[in-house]
Amino acid sequence: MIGRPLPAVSFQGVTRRYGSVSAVSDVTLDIASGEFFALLGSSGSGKTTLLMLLAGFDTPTEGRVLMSGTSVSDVPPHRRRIGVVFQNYALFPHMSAAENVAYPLRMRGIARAEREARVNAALGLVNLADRWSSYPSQLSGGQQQRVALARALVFGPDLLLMDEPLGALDRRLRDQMQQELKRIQGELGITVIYVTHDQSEAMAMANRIGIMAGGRLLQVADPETIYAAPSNHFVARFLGECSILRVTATDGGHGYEIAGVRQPLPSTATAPFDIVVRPENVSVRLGPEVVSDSACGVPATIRDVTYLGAGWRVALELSDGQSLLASIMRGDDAAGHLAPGKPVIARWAPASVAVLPAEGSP
Amino acid sequence: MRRSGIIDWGRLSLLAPAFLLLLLAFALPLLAIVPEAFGGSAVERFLRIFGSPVYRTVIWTTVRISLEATTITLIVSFPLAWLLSRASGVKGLLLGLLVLVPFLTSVLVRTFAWLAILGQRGLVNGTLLSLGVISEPLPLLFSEPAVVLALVHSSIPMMVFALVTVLRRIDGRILLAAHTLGASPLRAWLGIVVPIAIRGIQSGVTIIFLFTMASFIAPAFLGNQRQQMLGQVIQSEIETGADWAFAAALGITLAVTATIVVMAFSTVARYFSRWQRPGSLPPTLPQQQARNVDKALLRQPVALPTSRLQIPAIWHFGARLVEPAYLCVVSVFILIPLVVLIPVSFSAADVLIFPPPGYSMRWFKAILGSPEWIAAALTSLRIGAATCVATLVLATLTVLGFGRHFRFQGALEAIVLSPLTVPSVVFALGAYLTFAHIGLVDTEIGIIIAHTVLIFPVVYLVASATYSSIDPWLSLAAASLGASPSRIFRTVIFPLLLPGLAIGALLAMLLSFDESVASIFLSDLSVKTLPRKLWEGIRFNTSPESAAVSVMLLGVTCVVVIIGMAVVLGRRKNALLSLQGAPEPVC
Repeated sequence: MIGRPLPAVSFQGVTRRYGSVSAVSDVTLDIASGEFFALLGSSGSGKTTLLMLLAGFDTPTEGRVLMSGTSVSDVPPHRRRIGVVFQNYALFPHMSAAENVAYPLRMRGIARAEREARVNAALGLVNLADRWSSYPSQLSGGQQQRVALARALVFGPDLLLMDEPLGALDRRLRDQMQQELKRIQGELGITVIYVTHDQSEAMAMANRIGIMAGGRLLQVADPETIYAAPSNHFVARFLGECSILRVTATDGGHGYEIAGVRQPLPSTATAPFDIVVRPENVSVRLGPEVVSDSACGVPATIRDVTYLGAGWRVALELSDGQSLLASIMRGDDAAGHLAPGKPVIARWAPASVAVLPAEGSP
Repeated sequence: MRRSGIIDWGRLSLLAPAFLLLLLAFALPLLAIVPEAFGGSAVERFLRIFGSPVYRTVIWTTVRISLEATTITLIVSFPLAWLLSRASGVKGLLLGLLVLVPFLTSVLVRTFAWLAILGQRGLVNGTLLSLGVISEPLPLLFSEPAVVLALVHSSIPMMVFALVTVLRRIDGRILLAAHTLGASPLRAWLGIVVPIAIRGIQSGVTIIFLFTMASFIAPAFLGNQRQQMLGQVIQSEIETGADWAFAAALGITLAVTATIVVMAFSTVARYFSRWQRPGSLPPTLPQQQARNVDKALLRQPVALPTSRLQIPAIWHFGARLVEPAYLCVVSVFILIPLVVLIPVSFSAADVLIFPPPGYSMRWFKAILGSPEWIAAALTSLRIGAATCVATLVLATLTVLGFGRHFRFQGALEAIVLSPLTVPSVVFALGAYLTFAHIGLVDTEIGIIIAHTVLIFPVVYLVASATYSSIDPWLSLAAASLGASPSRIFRTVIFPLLLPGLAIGALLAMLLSFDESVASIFLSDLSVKTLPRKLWEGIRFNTSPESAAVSVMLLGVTCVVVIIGMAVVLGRRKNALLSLQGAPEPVC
């Protein structure tokens, strides 16, 4: 710990129970200063409860929350110096955009001149300087979102919490706002905790992602790691499309056998394990007559072909009955010959496989 | 769906009965006050009102007491309405009952109870005397505070209902947002919730002000003879049959005064709610400021000033007790007048004494053995049943007539609801003057007509809320499945409307049974409703007999509320069960 700066936020064994139900159980997590951290999970996974605990609207049943090394359990919400952007923006309908943004400054007794300078700066930061006197009802969803962001940033908080902030926007606007959020975060260097159920959003924006389910934090890692090496079945299924295959370990954990075909493993596995194969890592050869290097190809039959524009998604049935997804790009050799019922050989690079503890194994 | 230019005669004919009733039994009686007031020596009449210090004092007293009662009611009710709007489950049910039961209890009963609380030998004096705090009973009755207290108590339910409809629509996260931005709980409340709820406050204040302006029961029972209110003077003018024209002139005075004050309210409310009607958008400036944004400024944190007084930990603990403490005080205030009558009604004494020196069933025996009380109860029941049927039929026809869209629906609905916005004493006065000409005063028909006018808007509100909660696509679906319009109504719309109509029927029955103002004006010697008989009983001698009648009325209210709850909860339970059976959404 010596020499490392204190984490901006630190959850230490935080649990929140409502009666017999645990909304959050035993979450331990450090978030570094300046980090863009995404909490990813479906609704009811406990991510919003965790946010409410951090913002001070709820207190942990067990464990504690620290900000910059200090416990905040005795600090009421309005003294925590956290900017929060709520899902539905929670703009005050009876105040104009500028009045909304000025609200935290008024609460802090800032003099008029500085207040106006800061409101100007904050609205400028979100490119809304021309909407100074509009009421929320006169603003579009994206503009309301920007006002909410400016309001949460204007008082220079230590931390910005965002609860599904882009959930109500349409696809195009959402992509635009994602880039803008990244830009603003970079310009201000603020720590951001971003709650979302949209995995692509988390991947696109976050330095690190924490995946939550059933109140537990399942895995915390950077986007590449979490996609390439999920730590369990839930995480693997939650992020992107994948096929999880049951395999038999061979060579004392250095390889595995599937459908009678032996494959090497990039690392050594000890316990019983399953493998995760992403569709984009699977290639398809028309077979079975061209089986030249059958050692690395598994015989399969095409069950279904879906056209996706940039390519096709092909559902395969391996010869042992398991199903496997492959994505075939335009220009691939097999592209013109995809039809349900055709026998093929499915292949994947040994290094592209991630190993999971087998489901149901201790 | 909307056919413009073509008059839909079918739907118009559905609306006709309600509007005919409002025209003949509501608008005409109100208009009849005007020639009565301005006929003959009108100048002399109004000079008598505005020229004499006696009546000027009456007007001023009326306005002052109404403003006091309205202000206190608003302050007391706002937190209750807020808690009710946020509550769910058992807490929501209990809070709802806390408001609903007094709302459905006769104003006469609720006002009478204060006699038992504040009287020379009432609850307060009795308690203080036995504790040795005072040696002589305090003169609590027959004073302005006693009248204001009773009016506040009668007004709380209506105020809460007016506020709750608006407060429910406020997203709780807006308050969380205010907290994260640095607002203390009190500032967030006053600065955010109150301004957003301005429309609810306006309608609540208007309703309560009109109600208190028109009140005559509270000042007659609890007030000082030197501090009479307008409604009281009008009522005694009619009762003594002295001078109809003068009563009409007083009615005009009351209506005009009330209108002036209400218009002042709405001007103030308009100023505070100007954000709801923002003007045209300001011209869009070129985004040049955006280029030179001073980001460094935003990196500097602004600290919240440390509060000047160091709040000890005990205060934080105390803050948690604010809500339960408030709820306790409010519940006691709301419930005591209802509860206090129960021991009093079993009193063995001849006069109202608290605590009763002994208990007996004598007053209940006296009532049940008295043909007069039995006749009054039967009269009230007959009138209630007739009013219930009449309002229900009218409300159903009107709801169906309006349908989903109707031309000028907003204005027409305002007409339907207009009986709620006229001080009841003014309407009762008009009805008396009109009905007297056609021999309807002191008849059951006359009271039924007046009750129908007064209660129809309430039933319409319930029925229309139910109707608008029915998915409009259901009718289209039924039509696509081969149902004719009349069969759609019988097989789809009516069954879905039924629970709302059942609640409306219960409400109509109860409101008519408890209605005192029109009953007191329109009944005399031959037709006596229960409230009318109670009014006479309380005015002539305040014996526990009236308490026993009040307790029986209270019992009726409770039974009706329980039936209503069974209807509502029964439906909700089914809905919950079917929800539980549904598969969980797969994540």
